[in-house]
Amino acid sequence: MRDRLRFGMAVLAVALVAGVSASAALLNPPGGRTWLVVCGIAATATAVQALSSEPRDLIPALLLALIPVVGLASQGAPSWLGAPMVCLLLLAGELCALTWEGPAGMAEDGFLAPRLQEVGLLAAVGLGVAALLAVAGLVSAPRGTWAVVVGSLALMGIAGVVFGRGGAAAAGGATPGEG
Amino acid sequence: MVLPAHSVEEVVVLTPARDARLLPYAFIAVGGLAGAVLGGQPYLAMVAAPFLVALVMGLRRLVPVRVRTRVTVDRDRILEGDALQANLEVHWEGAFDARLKLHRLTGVVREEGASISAAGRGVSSLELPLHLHASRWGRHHLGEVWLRLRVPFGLVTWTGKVGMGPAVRVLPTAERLDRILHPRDSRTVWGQHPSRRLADGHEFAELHPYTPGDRLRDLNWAATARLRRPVVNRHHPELAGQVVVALDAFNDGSGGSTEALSRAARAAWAIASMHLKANDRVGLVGLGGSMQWLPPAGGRQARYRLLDTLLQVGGDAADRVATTRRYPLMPAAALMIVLTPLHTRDAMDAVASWRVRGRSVVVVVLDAVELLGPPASESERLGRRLWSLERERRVDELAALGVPVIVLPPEGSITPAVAALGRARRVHQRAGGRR
Repeated sequence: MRDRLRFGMAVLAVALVAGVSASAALLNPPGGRTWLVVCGIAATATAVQALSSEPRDLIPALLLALIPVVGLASQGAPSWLGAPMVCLLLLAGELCALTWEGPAGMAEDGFLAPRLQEVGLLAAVGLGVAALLAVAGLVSAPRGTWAVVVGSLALMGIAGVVFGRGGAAAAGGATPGEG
Repeated sequence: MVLPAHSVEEVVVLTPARDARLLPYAFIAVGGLAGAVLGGQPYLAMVAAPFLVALVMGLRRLVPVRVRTRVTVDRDRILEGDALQANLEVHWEGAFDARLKLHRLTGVVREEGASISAAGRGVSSLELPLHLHASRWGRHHLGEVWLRLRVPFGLVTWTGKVGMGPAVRVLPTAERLDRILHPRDSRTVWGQHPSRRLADGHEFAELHPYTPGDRLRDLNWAATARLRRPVVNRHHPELAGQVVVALDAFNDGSGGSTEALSRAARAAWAIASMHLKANDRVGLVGLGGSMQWLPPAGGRQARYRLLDTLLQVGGDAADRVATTRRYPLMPAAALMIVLTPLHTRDAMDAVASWRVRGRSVVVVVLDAVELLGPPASESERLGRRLWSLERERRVDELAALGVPVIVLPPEGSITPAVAALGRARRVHQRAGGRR
């Protein structure tokens, strides 16, 4: 049962990556569509690879899947289309994490339902923030020096959090028996 | 704080470790924001936003966590197959989603349906009652205690080994033995072995013409009637003897050789127990490892010492570096019973060294070929045939030294083997005088 659940989550994660990248590629103008489709296929393949073997590296899958989405957004597609796609990719990442935790991890017993709630909440908050930024950008995007100052502060904050504290955390170990 | 008798407590600090999502999320968030600022593209900030949210929520808590673990067992000495109750308590600072697991159980297995893991949400401690039973003799640590902590939305986990179970001594069970090998020479205390001397006893020795002083109840009426003069029965007195059980613990570290050692140890304990019950003095020598030697002794204390030494032999068998090949000099009157799978020549060298010094030695060869499982290929099948030929050759070699040898089949009980050994020994005695 647990193995089937795990397999189901893995399939759903791959399907999300494939679906987002494919739909974004197809919604793009025909000119560069071929390359975007190739990116989508590569994203799906790397997602499968990340789920089925070591090392557990999501960077190639997410970046390759984001290329068609970014391409779509750069073509002036409406934000209500881009923001959900990005959130679906975040959802795929979270499902991958649940799959990795496996039967001996948190994704079993009483943990699965709360974890799925967490994932849903995270995706919802992310969607809200992305939509807010998209709307704000359309209304009045910060420009010039003001944009550089705001962006730099944001980047410094993130870098401090990720590489100052999170970076000190060693690569995650797995409890024995984890799949 | 006073701890229960069989309890181990450890304190460990767990540091946070990133999980596989942290780097990709950070990469996308930083890259997206940088692109948005440098390229003046607001939609890149939108792309980065969900991952930025995940980062902010996932890295709220990054401090090391101090974990205190206590493992308690109800007793530290049990017999093979006995149940063992243990309790595992783990406490830490703060509320986490936690998962606890006992890993690498050695020498014990969990009872049917019993759990060796526990989990809790938003807790600062976990307790896990353990229902185990001993599966293999020896001195074992119960296992490793592993803990994994995380916070909701966390992109880091606190994972690690937070303790070890206490050491438990699993004592081997005795097989039923209804025959006892007769030691070479009896001691002067009363026991169950007939002496070569003549005195009061139950075992018939010879007929002897009546001499004044003989007891009338010893008259053999049939012989007296036949010979037409009084004839009395003479008996061997039942006296105790000395037995030394030698256990071949030369071990190549494989699962098969460990199981063969367990089998030999069970047989050794069975033989030793029965001889102790018969008031014999029993000694033990472990061949291999750092070589354990317990001189023959009798009584209850000897039983405990034998157990201790037997466990020590099991513990030392894993140490293949400290193998010594100097064998102790055995008491002249002792019967040596060597239990060996004959996997190495070392045990044979020991037997030969005792035999040339005139010691009485018998060998029980434990057939452990089935522990390897069915042969997977033609070459493996051939290899096993070669090995069985080599073992036969070694058995013949021992027989040529005047050592009675019995091969104990895989699932065979020690009882018929001991009986057969007794028969073989009598044949040797008849053929070549005292062995």
